[in-house]
Order: sequence, then structure tokens, then C-alpha cells
Amino acid sequence: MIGFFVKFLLLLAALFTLELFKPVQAHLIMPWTDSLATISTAILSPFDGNVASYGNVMVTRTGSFGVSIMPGCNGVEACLILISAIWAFPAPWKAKLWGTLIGIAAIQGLNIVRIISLFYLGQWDQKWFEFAHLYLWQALIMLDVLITWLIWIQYLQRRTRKEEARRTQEPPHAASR
Amino acid sequence: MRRPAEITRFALKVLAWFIFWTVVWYEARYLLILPTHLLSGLVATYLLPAWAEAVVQHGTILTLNTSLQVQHIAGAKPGQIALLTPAVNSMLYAYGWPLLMALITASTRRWLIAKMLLATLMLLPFEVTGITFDWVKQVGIEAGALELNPLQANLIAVGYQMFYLIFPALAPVLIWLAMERRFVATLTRLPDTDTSGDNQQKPSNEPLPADCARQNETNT
Repeated sequence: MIGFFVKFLLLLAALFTLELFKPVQAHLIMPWTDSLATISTAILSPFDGNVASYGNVMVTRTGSFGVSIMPGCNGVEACLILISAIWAFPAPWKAKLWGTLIGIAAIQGLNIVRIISLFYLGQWDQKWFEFAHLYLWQALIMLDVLITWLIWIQYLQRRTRKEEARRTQEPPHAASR
Repeated sequence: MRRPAEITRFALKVLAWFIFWTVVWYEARYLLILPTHLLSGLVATYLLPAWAEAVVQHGTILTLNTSLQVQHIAGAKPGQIALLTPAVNSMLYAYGWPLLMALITASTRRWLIAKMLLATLMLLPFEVTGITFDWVKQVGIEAGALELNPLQANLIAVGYQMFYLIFPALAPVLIWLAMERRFVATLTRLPDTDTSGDNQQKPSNEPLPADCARQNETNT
């Protein structure tokens, strides 16, 4: 366990430091953050004609309210934590790769739910918006990371046991009597 | 399928407890902040004795009184000085506590109160480190009151970011994983390294010698 924690923290520190570099921010993080606003708006548009986006901002067309998606709200840190947890865990690299891709999709999916919920919460009540934005959703996203990681480990275990069961199945022969 | 449902049931339990503990955390926030207030004051005055003087609490805001003077204040009368007093909303570093309590209450019933108290204590260093980085960032980088070289400024910036963006939510999960290894192993069907026998793996499909097979039948 200690070995896993050490590997995990080292990986996380490395990935997080890399994420802070200006070229990574300019070419990866900021475009992704802007796309979150676009994606969220695209999901809402069929149901709510009053929503628009520009850059990393989602606004009402009336201009009465808007949210700006900033670092900490783009799900990148949560993805880095999940990636570090998966790659620090002993497993075949293919399983790690699939876990990373599906895990990122799971986290970003919930993150879009967060953005949309905050967009409407902010229009309803600023106090509840602040509470959900600063405290509630941060913890829920981390819970998502944990559950995704646990499900991945469980999938690994099931696959390993299936392979072991297949290997130990031997046709019956005279020597066993 | 039975196995995925175990994690789903656990997740729903955690969610339910999380709502409960969030309400408790919010209602008791002025009380829960007291250990953070005390410890952050001790840490700041010990680590930064040249300019950190005391920590004052207003609601959930922890303000560090310093001896650092603010230069060039517009409209200041001759002889007037202003001291830097960086302030931090401690809840920004403590919001992981309800998650930690929810994970513990959803995962075990043995030694529950002791685990909750121990976990709360284990979370404190993360909160205090984040708050201290926040103060130093405000004083050193935003106000420019400390003579920092580029490396120091970068280290403070990275430290602040890590303890603001990552550890408030991550530390509770790490603490819970360390405390509830056996439960996690059971939940994910990982081989348990513990030899107490509570969470032994199910026997494999390999044929056993006759006397072992009889013993296993008795045990299961």
C-alpha cells in the first residue's frame, strides 16, 4: 500500500506540474475548458433557447447571468488524480489505458452535469450557487473519481480470476484417480 | 450481476451519508474550525517568525496578522502605516471533511467514533498547509512584500495550487483508503494481505489434497 501511495503521489505531482506549464495550458487545457462551455450549451440548447456561450463562459441570452469555467472547474485535476491512481496500480498497460479513457469520460460527464446544475442554480439563488460551487460539487467529483477507480479495480480482478479459472481447467485423465 | 451492485450500493450509501455530514459540517462550522485556527496559528508563527504574529478568526475567515507594512497607500496621511493581513476562508480547505465522514460511516461500524476522530485529526495538516500556502501566496506573490527569487515564487505557486485545487478533496480519500484497506479489498475482491482470516479470498478451482478439501468444507 505504501508503495502505491508513493507512486501515486509522485505521478500526481509530475502530471500536475506539467499541467501548469504555459504551452500545456495554451494548447490543451484552455481549449478543453472553452469546449466545456460549448458542449454544455449544445446539450441545453434543445431544451432552453436562452443559453449561449463564448470562450469559457456560459451566459443567458438576456445577459442576466453567466458562469465562467475556470481551472478547478474543468475536471482536469480530477482526471489527473484518476490517471495517477490507475497508472500507480499494478495492472497490464492495456487495462490501464482503457481505464484511463473510460475514467476520463466518466469524470467529464459528471463535470458537465456540475456545470449545467451550477448554471441554473446561480440563476435561482446566489447563496446556494456559492455553496454548491465551492464545496459540494468538489467533493462529489472526488467521489466520482474514487468510485470509478474502485470499479476499474473490480473489473481487473474479475478478468484476472476468469483467466486463472481458464488456465486451471484441465481435462480429466487417468493419473488423478 | 451481483459484484458491480456492491460498489453501487456503497456509492449510494456514501452519497446519503455525505448529505447528512454536509449539513452537520455547515451547521457546526464555527466549532469545527477551532482546531484549524489553533494549529495554523502555531504553524505560521513557528515557520514564519520574522513577520507572522497571530491568527484571528472571524466566522470561518482566518486572518494572519503580520508585521509587514504596506507601502505607498493612496490617500494615506503622513505617519500612517498599514499592515498586511492576509485572510483565508477556511471552508475552502475543509470541505472534504463531510466526504471523509461519509466514507467512514458507509464502510464500517467497528470503532466508528474513534475512526472519525482520528480521521479528522489526520485531515488537519492538509487544511493547515493549504491555508499557510494561501497566506504566503497573498503576502509574497500578490502583495510582493517578501523578497522571493523565481524558484521560491514558483514553489509557492505550485504548493498553493496543489493544496487548494487537489488536496482538500483528495486527502479525505487517501485517509479513508489508508484506514479501510480491508474493506476496500473486500469491496473490490482484491487479495487481502491481512492474515486474520476475516477477508480471505475464496478458494481457487484447483483440486486440493483430500484432507485439505475436508477442512475447507468445514470452514466454509
